[in-house]
Amino acid sequence: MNLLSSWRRRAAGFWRLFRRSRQGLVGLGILSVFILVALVGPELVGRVDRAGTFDQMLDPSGGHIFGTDRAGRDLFKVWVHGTRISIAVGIIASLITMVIGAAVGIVSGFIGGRVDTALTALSNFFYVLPTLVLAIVLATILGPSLLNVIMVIAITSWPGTALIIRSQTLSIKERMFVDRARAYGAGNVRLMTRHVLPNVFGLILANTTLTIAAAIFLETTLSFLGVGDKNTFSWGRVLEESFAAGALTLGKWAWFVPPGLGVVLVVLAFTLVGGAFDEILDPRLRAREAGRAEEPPEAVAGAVVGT
Amino acid sequence: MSRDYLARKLAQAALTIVAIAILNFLLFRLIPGDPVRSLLPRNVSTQQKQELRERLGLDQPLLPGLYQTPQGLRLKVEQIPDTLVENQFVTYLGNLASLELGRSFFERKAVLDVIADRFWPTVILVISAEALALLLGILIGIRAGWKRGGPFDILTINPALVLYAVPLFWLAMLLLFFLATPNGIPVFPSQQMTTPGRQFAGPLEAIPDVLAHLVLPAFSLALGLFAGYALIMRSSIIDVLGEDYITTARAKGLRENDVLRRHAIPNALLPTVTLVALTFGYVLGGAIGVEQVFSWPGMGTLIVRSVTQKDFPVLQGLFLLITISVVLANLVANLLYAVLDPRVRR
Repeated sequence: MNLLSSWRRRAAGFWRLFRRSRQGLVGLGILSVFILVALVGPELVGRVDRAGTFDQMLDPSGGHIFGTDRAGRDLFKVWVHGTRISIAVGIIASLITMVIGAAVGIVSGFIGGRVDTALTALSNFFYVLPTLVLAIVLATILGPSLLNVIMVIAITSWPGTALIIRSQTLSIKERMFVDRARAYGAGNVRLMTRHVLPNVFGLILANTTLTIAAAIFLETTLSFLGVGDKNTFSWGRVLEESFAAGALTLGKWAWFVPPGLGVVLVVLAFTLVGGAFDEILDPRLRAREAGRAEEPPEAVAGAVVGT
Repeated sequence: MSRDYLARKLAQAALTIVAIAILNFLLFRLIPGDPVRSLLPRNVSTQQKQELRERLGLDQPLLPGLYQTPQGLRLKVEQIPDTLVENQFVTYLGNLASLELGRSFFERKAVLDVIADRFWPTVILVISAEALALLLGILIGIRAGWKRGGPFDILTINPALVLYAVPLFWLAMLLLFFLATPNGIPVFPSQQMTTPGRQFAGPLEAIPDVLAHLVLPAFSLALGLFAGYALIMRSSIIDVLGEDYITTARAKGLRENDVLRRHAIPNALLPTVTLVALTFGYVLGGAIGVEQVFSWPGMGTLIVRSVTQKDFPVLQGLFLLITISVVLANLVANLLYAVLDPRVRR
């Protein structure tokens, strides 16, 4: 059987299971709307006037549905652009996290021995450190830029992924097919990329979805605390500006409610989708939530990871 | 708890703290720019700069033989024997051992004193928020898990899941907007820990005023925290209800209330209680944003201030203090777990 049709079969099996999760579907629904806004929104609403206009601090009206800020920028436009930046930062940072975490986890679990001891100690060390505090310090040292914020999120988030992937790798390593491939003369690199990776891929996917939520959360907080990029209007940056400009006492709720609501909905959506992935991958969890086992665990796991 | 387990956990924590000390040293040596230049006004002589450099120990190599030059790092092998002790890292470790954390760039005070002023407000905020969150989380988690799928479960767990996705500082902003500004119903003060300009005869006199200022920050933090406790409490109640000893208790003819109170709750409490210690770092992180919104004079606002003012000695001191306390909290969680759960005592 060729690779493509096997992936398609797997995807179909995955969707069949995903469709059953009401939380997953709700998350997917919310997410579709926001992804659409992020993809085409900024072009539809047009550019934000960087220099500003004379229509400063207007209240919400037909012309400016969220009103305008101190510099006379239309806050709805700013919000739409913020959607793209916040989601993009979350996704890019999580992809980097995923690559580092998966690489460390697979190598650590598969090679074992001293390599494993060293990598696990390193992961554990960074896992213990309080994420936000480390991120603030790193961002301050590296300086405020969007790229640095992305790097900071990746540096502080990879250990969780690494530890999860490592433990999954350990159990896969013990399975028959790995021994069989080794007997056919497959080397470590081939075993890791062709045999272990495809089998932990589902887990990586679930984990990345949850990491995106955490990354967006972290970016928002960092920007609010003033260590984010000063030139890009992510949701967190808009919140910081509204707070600094006294939007709370001025009663300009349309300045700080939409960006916060955006963060809540997107983070919630990614968490729901990631949770649904997790349930599909961990039949024990699914059985418990449903109160009974619907399918024998082996069959379910096989449908997803294709063992 | 076996002595092996205790020794292993203590050794792990000690190693982690050593690693933190090294990381702390390395991180703050990565900062671009000359610290001497940011400390002194522009018009000082080269000699004065050199004096300050020597006083701060910046003329020494970073590590034996490893010099920081304007062109980058240089390793001078022949210097290694001479600088085995006289280098910045050894000096740093020595200072650390005597709790000498340097002086603030901006306040004319030792870093330790600057932090000490901000220590108690954060402790008060975190403890009251944790107490509130635990109370809410445990009570809601028990009821939700006991009648899983019932109306109470659905009406509380879904909002709890949503609260999980709310940035704490934004929650704080909403509470402030609705309960501390004329835009809502201004029942609570919005800023600081006491009413500005008000004099108190003694610390006791200040308590009512501090409490009034504490309500909103503590609730913001607690609302963000209780969701985690409620979800864990709920799922551990559900787990415990499937155990054989619950079936046995019911078979003995105990009333449902007694099964819950005497058997289910004590066993289900364990994960929730250890979660308090395990999420300590997250709580401190959340406190930063909340303190910022309410201008609470704690370590969170101090972090933000030292970031904006580039007061690196203070930031370094805070980083050290917070990370080490998080490691210790983790240690406590592990030991607590071992003491409370006989299955872990190996």
